[in-house]
Amino acid sequence: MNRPGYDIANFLRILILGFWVIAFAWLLSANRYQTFIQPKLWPLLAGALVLLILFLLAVYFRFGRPASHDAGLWSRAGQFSLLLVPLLYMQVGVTQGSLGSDAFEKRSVTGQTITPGGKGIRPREQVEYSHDKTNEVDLLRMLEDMERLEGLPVSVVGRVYNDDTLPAERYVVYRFVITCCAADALPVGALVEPGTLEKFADDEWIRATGIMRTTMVDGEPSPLVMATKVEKIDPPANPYLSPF
Amino acid sequence: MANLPGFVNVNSELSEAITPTAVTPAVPKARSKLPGWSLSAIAVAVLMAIPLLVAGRTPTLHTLSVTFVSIVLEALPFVMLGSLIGGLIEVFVSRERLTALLPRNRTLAIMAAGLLGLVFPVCECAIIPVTRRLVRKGIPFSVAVAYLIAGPIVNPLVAASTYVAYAGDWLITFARLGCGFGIAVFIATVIDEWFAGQKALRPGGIETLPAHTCGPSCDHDHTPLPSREGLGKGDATDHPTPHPPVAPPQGGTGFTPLPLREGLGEGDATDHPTPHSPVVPLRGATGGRRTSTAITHALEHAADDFLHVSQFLIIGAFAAAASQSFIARQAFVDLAETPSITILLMMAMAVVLNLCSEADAFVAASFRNTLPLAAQLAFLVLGPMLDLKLIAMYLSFVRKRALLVMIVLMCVLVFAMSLTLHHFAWGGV
Repeated sequence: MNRPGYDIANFLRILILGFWVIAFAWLLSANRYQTFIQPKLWPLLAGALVLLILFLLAVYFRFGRPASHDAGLWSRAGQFSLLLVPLLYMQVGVTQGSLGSDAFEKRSVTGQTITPGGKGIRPREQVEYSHDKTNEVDLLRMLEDMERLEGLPVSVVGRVYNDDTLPAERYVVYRFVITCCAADALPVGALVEPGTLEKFADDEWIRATGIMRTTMVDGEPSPLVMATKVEKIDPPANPYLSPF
Repeated sequence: MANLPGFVNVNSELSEAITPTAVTPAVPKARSKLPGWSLSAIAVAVLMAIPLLVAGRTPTLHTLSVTFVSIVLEALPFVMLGSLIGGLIEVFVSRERLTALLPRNRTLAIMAAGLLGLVFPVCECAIIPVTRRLVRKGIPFSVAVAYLIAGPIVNPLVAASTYVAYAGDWLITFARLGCGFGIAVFIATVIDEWFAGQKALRPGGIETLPAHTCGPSCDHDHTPLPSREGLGKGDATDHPTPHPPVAPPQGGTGFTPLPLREGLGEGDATDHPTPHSPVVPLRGATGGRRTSTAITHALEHAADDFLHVSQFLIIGAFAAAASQSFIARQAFVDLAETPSITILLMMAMAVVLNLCSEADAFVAASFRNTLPLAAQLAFLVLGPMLDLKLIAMYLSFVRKRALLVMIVLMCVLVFAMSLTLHHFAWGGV
């Protein structure tokens, strides 16, 4: 005999899967997933969306079949509740954007080595830098080629972090390097010393242009951009840097 | 086919009792009580949602949101994939065929399972639904444990990521894989000794995983299939239910889920009321239609497994994200005064961060100038076998006592191995 509890339980299951199908489609449209996941992993999410649709269809076509016992309405309610929670947080994450200064503070470690002298997490080809024109570099490249960039004109994009322990005229421009997802994000940063008194709020995206110098921070060499121009910019399409 | 010597069949007692006439389909009674786990799940979900209501748009809530969702998004596709593989195994692979692939010697079987990741690489999220199904299919739990623990470490993708992260350092790559394999085999052997058969399995976690079946009013072709070589059951997928499970010919193994309904697995078992034959021939009397029906059933199983395992993933991911959002990594490093403490702290960090085994090497490598290599290795070896989300997911089918033994062994072995390498192999570097 078909039990109402069974139908409701199955309906909850269809609802859960349906919500997640919509969530994955929503994340993939307009690249919203890039707040959470390395852009190169989009096929992973696309594949997951396909699987979710298949799961949904398989469950849907079983819907309404009578069962020989009730189907665990409360169990489905528990599943439904738990699987709903990430969807609520997803909305917050997408609205507020990629990891910010709070994560930068929590994940920064003194003496942490992001780039092992040109090798390691960024096995990229060597770049020739110009002495005459501004070199567009990302923060990872700046750390990687700190010595080669010394004294050269550079332009770098990142978010602002106003560190109370630094001299008043300096602040940090930072980004995160992610391999797979924001959980493994590692912060990378450089100091900026602007020639003007213009201040930026934490987490604002800026482009700092100037001459690259090296300074010591906590006993470790760190890049310093003696900026001649700092401008506020829109967030880049991909807020994170990739080691690959 | 009889069980392999020394192997304990999960459902051996029931299997032995099954005869074509002796078994009446056990139709579970409707539950009148609210299952404890279900209420707990709802309560946990409400607790997890509370920060959204009370914290407003604080930076920490933002960090928590992004980290939590990113862990879930990264893991879910692998859980789906693992569930799909599990569903396909459930429908298309017979227990006999599966167990026949294993070496008859238990130690060799454990070692082979420890190396299975080299040819069947899956991460720690995907491996759990696969392992649940493998155990459900009759793979001894101890053998499954070897695959469960070693699989996310001893595989080519993890080797490649470790190699790249450490700038082509084969030493750390081989050390990681070797230690992962050794620890997995050791723990599996201990589990084999201490928790024979299904003693390590949570009631309701494996036994009542939905066997391949269909509902009583299904419209499939129910024509009994001709006998099939190597299959322990007399018929395949398309039976009207309820009906008695068919006795295995020639002393073959039965395949009836235990009627236990307590514990975390209760919800899923309900969807497949009648246990019967687990396998579908790819070439059968009715050919394509039967196969497509079987694929639909495999997807149903996969959907059930996915929903079940995801609950635990989400709880663990939230705990991990909260840890990452509220505890500064510098705090770990500040406490690292001696090699022993440093190793312990890196082990704690591995449990807390919940990183994917294919990405964690990059985080570990970032500590090269800060921490001893042995501490990094401890992080690399322990992380894929033990973290907050994995603990929650293990609980979906492993008894607490067995899990406690596994956790203690993992921690003790990783610590001892790292400290030994630090002092005797790497000269305290």
